[in-house]
Amino acid sequence: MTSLSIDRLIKDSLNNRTSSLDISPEKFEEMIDYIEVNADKASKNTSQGIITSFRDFVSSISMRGWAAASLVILLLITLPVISKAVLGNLSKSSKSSTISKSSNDVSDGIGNPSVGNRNGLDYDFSGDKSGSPGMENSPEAQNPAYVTITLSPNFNSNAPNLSLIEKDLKSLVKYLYSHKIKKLYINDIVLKENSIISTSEDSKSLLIDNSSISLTETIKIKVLGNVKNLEKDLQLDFLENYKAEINPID
Amino acid sequence: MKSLVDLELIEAVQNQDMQAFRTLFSLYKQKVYGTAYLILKDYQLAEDIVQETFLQVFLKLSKLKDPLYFEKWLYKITVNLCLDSVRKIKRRPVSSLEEYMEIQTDFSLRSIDTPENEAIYRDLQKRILKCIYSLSEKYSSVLVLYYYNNFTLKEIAQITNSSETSVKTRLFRARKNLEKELNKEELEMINKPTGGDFLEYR
Repeated sequence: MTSLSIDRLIKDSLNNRTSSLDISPEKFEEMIDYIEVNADKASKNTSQGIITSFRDFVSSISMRGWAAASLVILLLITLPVISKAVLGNLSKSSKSSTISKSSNDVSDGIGNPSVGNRNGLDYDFSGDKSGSPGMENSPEAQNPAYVTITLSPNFNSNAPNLSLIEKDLKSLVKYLYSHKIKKLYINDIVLKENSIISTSEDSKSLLIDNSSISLTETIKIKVLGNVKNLEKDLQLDFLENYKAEINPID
Repeated sequence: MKSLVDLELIEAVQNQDMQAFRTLFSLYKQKVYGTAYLILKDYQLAEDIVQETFLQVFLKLSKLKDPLYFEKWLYKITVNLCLDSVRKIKRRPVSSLEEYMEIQTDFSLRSIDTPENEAIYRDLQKRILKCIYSLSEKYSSVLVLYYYNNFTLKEIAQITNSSETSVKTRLFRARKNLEKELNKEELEMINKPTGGDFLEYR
């Protein structure tokens, strides 16, 4: 059979070629010495080798690699913190802000003392259960969006009737919450559950958590809620001292 | 025939017994040297490979779980070092013609019984050897492991980290190349049936 004969020929060729090959005794001893020395080095340098390997690894990483790795680590650290903060804010804003009404008693609805004038504006959002926000599971909460309500003063700014203005704003805020909004900002100041609203000592500004809002100038209210409902349902004609303009934010 | 693995010797080397290691080295050095030489076709390089192979053996034998796997593991190191060496050198070592002449007159084919036939067979071996030398290391290593080291296809696949099919294909192609070296008359001369199957020949 052809195959076997060729096989035999190949085998014989290889064996016959190498039959005279071998490592000489001197070379053998040299190799043994080399192996002993290197094996000894290898065992001594194991820990050093690990350090060296680590150093080599570190130095082999490019600047870009380090930058990428740093970014990933930063994200891993900050992401839980950020998400916790965001979730916390969302859950807080879903509850009503509670501000207790008092003339002599200066505490708000949850026991925090109000600041400013004793004749402060007090709003009790928690009382209006039907209008309380925090309807996270309702269909309206599925696609919330912001709407701005621009309130332009509709009164004599030189002689404003403070009590009427206060009444207007109080009514507006109550009205908004009755439409199941999630968040409310007045001139970029967020109205929280425990926000304290009062009037300034000179009775020309509204104070929300010590932030001042001029009553005689345009007020911008930003509302987070279901845009369709707000645009459709909001009827702000009841406002006597302001002209209201409603616009969705894209 | 493959050498029997001395399990006690292996275990002694695994325990860093230097005398046992010397014995193991002596047992296998000639074959490892021959393997490296047939792949690299260079004496000096082959000696370096032997040295590095046995250094690796000394350092890593303790990690070998099954001593019966020793030979395959040994030649795996040898072949890998040979292929690494070729890559580093980026040239195929060229052997001189004198080497082709060093064919021993030790023939196993019974039909060669006349001086004339003997001479023809020597010449055939030289030409076959020249052809083996011209093969790339990918093919020559498989050929050497099969015909010189007597490993099976499965074992060669394990040693070279290839599939059995791949090994079989390379071996087949290598043999085809060698057959081309021989003319029709020469092929007829050596085609005397002696029985057996190519792939199972040991």
